[in-house]
This record gives sequence, C-alpha cells and structure tokens, in this order.
Amino acid sequence: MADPSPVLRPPAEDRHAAELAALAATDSEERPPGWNLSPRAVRTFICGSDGEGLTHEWQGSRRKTVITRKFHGDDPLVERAIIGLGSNRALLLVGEPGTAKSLLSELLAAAISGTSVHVVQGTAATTEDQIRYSWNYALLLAEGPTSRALVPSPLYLAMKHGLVARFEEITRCPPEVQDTLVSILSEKMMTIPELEGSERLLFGRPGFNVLATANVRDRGVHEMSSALKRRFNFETVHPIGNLDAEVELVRAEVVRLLAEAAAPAEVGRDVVELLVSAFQDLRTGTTPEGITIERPSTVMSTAEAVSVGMSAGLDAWYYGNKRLGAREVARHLPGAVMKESRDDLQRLKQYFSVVVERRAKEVRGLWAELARARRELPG
Amino acid sequence: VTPPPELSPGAALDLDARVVYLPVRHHSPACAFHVERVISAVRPTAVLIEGPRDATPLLEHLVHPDARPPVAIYTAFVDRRAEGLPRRHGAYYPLCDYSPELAAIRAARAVGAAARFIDLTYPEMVLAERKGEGEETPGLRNLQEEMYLRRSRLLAAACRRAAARDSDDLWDCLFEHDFRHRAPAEFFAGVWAWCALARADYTSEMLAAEIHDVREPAMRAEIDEAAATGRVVVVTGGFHAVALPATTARRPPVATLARPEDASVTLMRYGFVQLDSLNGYASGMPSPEFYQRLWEDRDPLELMVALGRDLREHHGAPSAADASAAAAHARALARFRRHGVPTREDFLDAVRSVFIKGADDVEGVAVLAAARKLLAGERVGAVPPSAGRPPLVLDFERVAESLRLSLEVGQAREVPLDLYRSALHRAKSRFLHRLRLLGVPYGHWLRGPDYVEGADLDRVQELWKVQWQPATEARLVEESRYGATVEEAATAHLLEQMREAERGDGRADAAARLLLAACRAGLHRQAPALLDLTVVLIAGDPSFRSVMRAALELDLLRVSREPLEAHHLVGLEEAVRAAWERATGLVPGLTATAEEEEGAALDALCSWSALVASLPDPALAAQQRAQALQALAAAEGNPVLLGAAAGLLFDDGDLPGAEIARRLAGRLAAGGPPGARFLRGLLRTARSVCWREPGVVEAVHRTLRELSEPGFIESLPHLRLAFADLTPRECDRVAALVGAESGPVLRAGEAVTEAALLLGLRVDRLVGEILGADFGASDA
Repeated sequence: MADPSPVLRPPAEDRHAAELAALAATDSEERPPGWNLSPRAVRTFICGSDGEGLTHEWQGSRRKTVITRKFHGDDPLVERAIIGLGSNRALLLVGEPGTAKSLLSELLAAAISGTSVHVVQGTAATTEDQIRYSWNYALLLAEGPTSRALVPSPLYLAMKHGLVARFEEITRCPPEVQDTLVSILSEKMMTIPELEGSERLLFGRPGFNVLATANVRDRGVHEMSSALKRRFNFETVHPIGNLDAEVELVRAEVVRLLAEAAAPAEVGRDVVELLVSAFQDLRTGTTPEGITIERPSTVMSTAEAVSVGMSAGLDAWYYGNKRLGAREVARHLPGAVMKESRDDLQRLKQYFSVVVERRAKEVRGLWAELARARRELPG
Repeated sequence: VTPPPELSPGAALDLDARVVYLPVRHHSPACAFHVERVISAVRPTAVLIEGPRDATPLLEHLVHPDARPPVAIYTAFVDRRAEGLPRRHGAYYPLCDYSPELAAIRAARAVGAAARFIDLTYPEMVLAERKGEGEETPGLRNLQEEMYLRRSRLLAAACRRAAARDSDDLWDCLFEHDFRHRAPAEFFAGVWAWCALARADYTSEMLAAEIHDVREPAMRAEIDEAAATGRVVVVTGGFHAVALPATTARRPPVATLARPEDASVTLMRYGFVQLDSLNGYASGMPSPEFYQRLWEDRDPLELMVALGRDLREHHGAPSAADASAAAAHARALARFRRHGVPTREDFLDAVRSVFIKGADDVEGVAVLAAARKLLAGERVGAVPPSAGRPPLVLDFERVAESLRLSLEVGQAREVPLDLYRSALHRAKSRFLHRLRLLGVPYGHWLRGPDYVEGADLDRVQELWKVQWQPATEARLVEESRYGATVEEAATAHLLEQMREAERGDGRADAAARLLLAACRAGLHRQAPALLDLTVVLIAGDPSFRSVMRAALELDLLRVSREPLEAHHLVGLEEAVRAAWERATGLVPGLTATAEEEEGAALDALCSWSALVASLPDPALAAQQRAQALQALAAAEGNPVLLGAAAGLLFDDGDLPGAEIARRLAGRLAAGGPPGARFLRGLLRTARSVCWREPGVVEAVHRTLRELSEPGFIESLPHLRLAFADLTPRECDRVAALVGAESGPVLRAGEAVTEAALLLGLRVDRLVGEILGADFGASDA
C-alpha cells in the first residue's frame, strides 16, 4: 500500500494484504467450502514461507512476495488449529495471558475468511443480544420487527456470509450467556422468532465457524458448561520456551514499535537477551543454573517483555544516551512485575540478589550492569 | 538431502552387488518390511546382522513356531579385572515382530540363507571400553541404543526446518507413513542419507568413546569372510551401515574370561511395556503397540476408539462422538501433512485437539498419559522351551516348589508365616526376603515384625502376598548376572551394598541395618563380616544418633536371636557394649546439637540411657552414664539437651531436686525461649520432677507472671512442647499445685460454660486497661 494508513492498527487482512494476495494467486490446492485459502496456504501465511518469494500480480505489476512468519512458537499447534477450524467443531485457544492467542486468532480469521473483524469481546457485561442480534428501536417502533430493524451481531454476520467469527475472552462472560452459543454451534442455525417466513431462520453458510480465546490464569473468569465444551476443540498456546526465538521476536517488535513512535533508540541483541532471560527465569521459577526462585503472581508474558523493552527504549531515547541499556531495563522491570501484589517487588528483589548478583560475578557484562542498576528498583 | 561424499552409498545399496548393506533403525516397521523384500529378491547365501556374535546359536529358537515376540536376548558379563568385588554387567537386545533384525532372520530362513550375528560379544564390548577416571559402565543397558539420534546437531537442525517435534517425529514423516508404496532401493537410499547426516557431525573421539572404532572393523572382518563364499546382505543400524563399506577389517582382541560362566547369553520373554522407550529404556521407537499395528497393516485409528472408551470409563468423558471426531481429525491432519497413514504424532495431535477439554498441561496430563499407555500396549512375548533358561530362574522355581510357594499366574495369595514355631515358615520367609533384596517382584511383604526398622516387634507372624507375574521372570533373568542361585545372587547384592556402606559416609547404622537384613534373609554366612564392619564403623562414627541406632539394631538382633536364627553369631553382646560406649563418649558433644535435630537427639539420648539395664555389668555402665551426663549437664549449649541431662541425673538420684529447681529458675529468669527449651528437655526425661520438687512449678509460675507479652508469645511453642509429655493425670496433678500457688482453680467437671469464662476474661482485661489508663501516666 502506497499511502500510509490513517488508522492506528489496521486489521491483519490489511496489514498483510500483499501476502494474502500472493497466497491466493499461487494457491493451487483444494479449499474447503467457504474458505479463501487452502489449509496449507493458511499455514504458510502464519508460519511463513521460509524466505521463499511467491510471484504474483499486485496492483498492476508482477512482484515477488515473501511470506513472513507471524506467529512464533508451536507449528503443529497451528496445523491442529487449521484442521480443527475445517471440522464441524469450533475452536478455543486457551493459555496464559500474552501468549499471542488473539494474534493467532486474528491471523487465522484473516487467512481463512479474508476478514478478522467479526469479533465479539467477552466481558462480564456481555449479553445475549451482543452474541445474537438486537434491534434498532426507532425502526422497531415505526415498522415493527422487520429485518431492516434488526441489528445483527458480528456472529450473525459471520453465519450469514460464511465467515470465521472471533469470540475474545469467552470465559469472562457469564456461563448462561456463553451457552447462547450451544445451539448456534450444534445446529449452525439461529432462530429469530420476531420475524416471519423465511427470515425466521438464519442458516450458517459454509465457512462459518467460531474461534474463541480464553485465559487460564486471569482473575474473574467463569467455568464453561460441559455442553459448550463438547462443541469446542481446545488448543493450548504456551509461552515461547526457546530463548533465541523469543529474543528475536521481542527485539523485532521493540524496534518496530520504537520506529512507529519516532524514537528509534538503538536496541542491542544482548540487552534484549538480558531482558528475555530475566522474563523466562521469572516465568518458569527456575533458572538455567537450576536456582529456584519464587514466581511473581503477574504473568511474565512475551507481550509484557515487549512492552518493557518499548518503555525502556523510550526512556533511553528521551532521557538517556539513545541506546537501550541494562539501567533502563532495571528501571522498567518493576512496572511489569508489580501488578497484582506488593509482594512481587520482594520477589523481584530476591531475583536480583540470588540470580542477578551471581551472574554479575560469573557472566559479568550486562548482568553486572543490571546488578549495579539495582538501586533503580523502588522501595 | 545429499550426504557428504565419503559417506555416499555408492555401490553399497546396489541390489546386484556381492555385498548389499541395508541401513536400518531398530524397531522400525518400514525397515523390517523392506529388509524382508530385499532378502527375498536377492536370495543371498548369508545374512549378517548387527548383534552379539555369541547369540547366533539362539537364532533357531527365534524362528521356532512357539516363539512369540517380543522377546529379548539377554547377555551378562562378570568383570573380574579390578580388585575386590567383580563388576556385573547385563544388556538387552529386544526383538519384536517389526524389528528389521527379526525380519532379516525370518527372511533368511525362508530363502535358505545362513543368518548370523556379527557384532562384538558383550564381554568384548565391555573390555574394549576405555573409561576415563570416575566413569563407570552402567550395570544394565540396551544394546540397541541409538545415541546418534540425540547427539546429532544436523538432525536437530533438520527437525527445526521440517517443524518436526523430535527425531522420532521426523523419522515417521520421512519413512514410516507410506513405506508400503516405496521401492526398496529408494527407501534405503533415504535411510542412508538420514544416517549419513547424523554421522556427519561425529568426531573420531566421539566414535572412539562409543567404541565404534572397534566394533565396525570387527563387523567388517565377518562380512569379508562371508563374502568370500557367496552373496551377502548386511543388516545393521544405519549409523554403522554408512561407514562399513569404507571400513578396514580388524578382528577384536579376544576376551579372556576368568571363568566360563562369567559370560552368558539367554533368550527371554519381553514386554511392550519395557520396549516403550518412553519408559526410560532409551532405544528404538516409542509406542510399540502403535507400530505393531502399522506392521500388521491395521488401521492405527482403531486405537482411538479404544482410547475413547478407556477415558470414558475412568474420567467420564469423552463421548463416542468425540472418538469418531478425533479419528476424523487425525485423518485430516495426516492428509494435510501429506502422510499416507496417520503417524504417531498425528494420532497424539488429534488426542490433544479433541479429547482434552482445557489446558494441555492441566486437564490434558491424564488424557495424554492414557494415550501413551495405550500406544505402548501390554503385549508379552513367549520363548520356546527348547531355548533353555538361565540357572537363576531354574533355581528360583526349584526352591519355590520345594517350599510349596505358588508359581501360577493369577490371583495373588496371602501367605501367613509363623516365624517362631515353624522352620518351614522361616525358610519361606528367608526366601521371600532374598527375592526382595534382588528386587524381584514376587512376594509382597504386608506386615509382620520388621527387625530392620525395629517396628511391630510384638508380632509373631509375617504376612506376605505372593504372586508370580511375567515381570518376576524378567527380573530374575536380569539378576542372573549376580549368580546362579537365589542365595548366591542375594549374597552378591548384599556384598555390593556392604561395599557401599563401607565407602559411603561411614555411618555405623547403615552397616547394622544390613546385618539385620542379612539375618532376616538367612544369609548368615555374611553375618560375621557385617558385624565386624559395623564394629569398625562404630569406632569412627562421629554421630551420636547413628551410633545409637547401630547399638539398638545390634541389641535388637541380640534379643531376636530366635526368629532371626542368630545364635551362632559371636561377639554380638560385645558389639552392643562397644557401640554403647562409643555413644557414651559422644554424649558431652551433644551440646552442639542443632535445633532442628534436637527431637531426634533427645530420643537417642533416652534410648542410650535405657540401654544400660540390658548391658553386661550394668553397675559399671550406670557409673559411666552418670559421668557422661554430669559432663553434658555442666556444659553450655543446646538447652533442650542440657535439660534432658539434668532430668536423667535427677531420675537416677545423682542430682538433687533443689539443684534442678535452682538451675531451671536461673535459666527461666534469663527470659526468652532458652529457659522454656531447658524445661522441655527436663520434662522429657523426668516428668516427676514437677510434683516431686516444688521449686520447679514455682519457678515456672514466677516466670510466666513476669514475662512480657512478646516474650511469652516467643516462649509459648516451647512451653507447649514441654508440657505435652505429661499424661492427663499428671496434668491434673501439676494444675493442682499451680492452683495452690495462685488461688482458686477450676476443676474438671465444675460447671462453667465457655461463654462465662470468656466474659470473665474480658471483664478482667477491661478492668486492667482502665486501671492502666488511670495509673499508667503516674507510673511513667
């Protein structure tokens, strides 16, 4: 796209429009009914083409497009999710916060249906209307219940047009509201008793499915009824376990975000490795040296590491020497750790005295800098 | 992928060549399938297989109609090169229906070719190993270990590129899913490339460390010899196959055996449970039942239905619809991944997607465990009677029959044994205890006097649950490296444990426990040596508790001579005395006892004091006790033990009550926990001091009155422990004394409700506060 987009965060299908077009043009495999791409092309869209360029027509000229990897982690999980969406069951991605569940859901919807914007956001206040449909009351009063007066929900539209509907944070909804989905998922049909004739029934078109996400570690989530569970395939998304992969991902994201914020501070790989190592230690509760530490109650996700990197980078750009260093990391780490309880600060300090001090002596380098920056910790 | 030129197959895979090298992976149905096809097509004069040469005579039993895989060749070697006890090694070579090696043996028989094993014998392997300082050969291992799968960095990189989870997954995706539709030459070229890749990052040091530099020239020598007389097909692990064509023949050094029975090769029945590499027997491929079905060309997804039923029975979910959805999911995944039939990971992926309702590391754990168990299967093989059995198994059966113990498969039987009255029962008990020493699953000890732990000694009967299981025989075969009879093997085990006790941290109680275990298992011949060892260790053991435990064990053996048949053990009483005296020497050092160990030290001190009565010349012992206690009581250190020493002295009349009261008052006056801890030790050893010496209660009472609130809270746990030893009647007695001192006391049984008591306390506190507010200022 030539002109810069006027929206803050365009949906996946716009961000990666060229890649989707390249895949659609070169996809020779069979597509399930209602799908924009074949399952293999969907996988390539998410896991990348390993640097290989696809030749296709794009905005009037021939070009080669390389498909980038957009989801880092478990490839077999992506495959299971794609196959699951092609079956007659809905898909639920579960996992700790910040494991890119929503990103994966957005990418899957964009690749399969060409649109990822049919989203219901689950909250404690979500009502049945938001899942099914509601009414434009002015029209309802004027005309009575007609299809013109009906305000469709994202799910309604997805059924009608054969698209993947996304349901974010489904377990935040009260169980009775969640259960609205039971009949929709098993019958693939919605009854609109207020309307008459053929409009009384809305049948799902091929390509319709529901892709939900849920957190397992968050506070304030509800149980799911077994009736609903039976209609879903569950896939667990885990945090990235591989240090190198996570370092690469965090670094790329931090650099991109800093560039977008017009604060292109220098982000060295070693600093990011320091940050990610600290996150992995605190996340798992054990370090590669075998030291056991107390895990903070906050979830130390990759997304959180990116956000610490980003704020530390901004700090370095505006108040430092324009180079992200251990001092900035130390300054912004507490904000990420200390969200749920004040004890987490103690746990972070414990981490500094047990692990960071030790590495400062043994590994030196940035760890020594981080140990010196300990005075940046509050309290 | 193209392998490096020095490892390219060249003519080796040419099916018209004089020598055809077939690279295989152990327990691979695909390899087995193609090995059979090649041998049937080539019709060679000889089929040479990687496996211990001295196991070749077993081949006829392997193709016997009564043989039913899985079976294993078990080979043992007793290494007597080093000083002292011999080192005993054992190794397995498992074979199942889909083992390429077994397929080769069967195919050779069908075409009339001579089949032979060509690898080093197990003793030759052990002797060829060059071990560095501190490295030791494991006692038990698998001859089909495929170390390269874990070591190769190139294979690891290939897995990452192909998005395979591990080398097993990658292997399945490359070779297992569609092997029936490939030509043998093309198939083996692929395996060759795989193995060449894996071998490419091995250095010559790594090859030497795994003694490939001895094994491969030896195998090559056998190949050359066979090739002189006709066409040959060589079936070896792919890791060797890629190197053998370029290897120079060299015979291995001859292994000389100290005794002919030091090396043995046996055929034994084996089970899928042991074959499953996920059970820690790292070799071959995991999930044997899954691959057995692949081999039999049955749909592996039948297992999905079985899994659904299994989960429904045990967890209430999933529904039958789930099982068919999971099967459909596995098929769709296999199609998507371009697999001919669903691979093991396709199967497990479908289980993950459909059967797990929740997070895979929470709700999924039980589901995946059930799936893995089902994929492993429970098949147990059979060996033809003609194959012979190791002497240890025969001895076991002979002894069990003569003792009228059941050797039938089926229900477990409870066997009560009267240790005091029946010699036959004692013989049974010893036999079962020997098997326990060997770790053979046969008799399960339910209850009875436990002489080693010193528990339930008032019982006169032992109760066992006896049941023969396939694992009984498997373990006996494994243990056959320890000897030809149950007694011999149990003795060898005992000696090894004795050596460990000697080499270990020099704790006397470990040796004493072994002595009891030996007597219990009827290994009395070792008893004198164990007693000597115990006495030697006692002399050097610096731990009061360990020495005391040894003394008690020895004393227990002394009093339990009858059921343990230790009449002939000379020097037992002297050893008890020596242990007690050593402990006496350690008593003054108890002042340094750490707080977390004081409970155990207190117990040991009490048993030390009580043991005096049963020693020879108790009067002298009592004198020694008094001296040691005086030294302990007069020292400074852990107050609990000082209190305990004072109490013991009081009990013997060596310390007047008034002196006790004076010491207690002094310690309590210092405030804080040490005083309360002294009291705890005191009351543990001499509760009667409470009512026999009025000064004691008085001192406690005064301190409680004077203690500040935080001081009281700090001492409270210790005070609670101190008085916990009193019996209810004694509590009453002390309470009466306290009451006499402080005014009226409520007696048990007097009608005061809890509410009234609480109200009284509240009034008391409020009045106190008001008085405090009124007079507090002027006090300050």
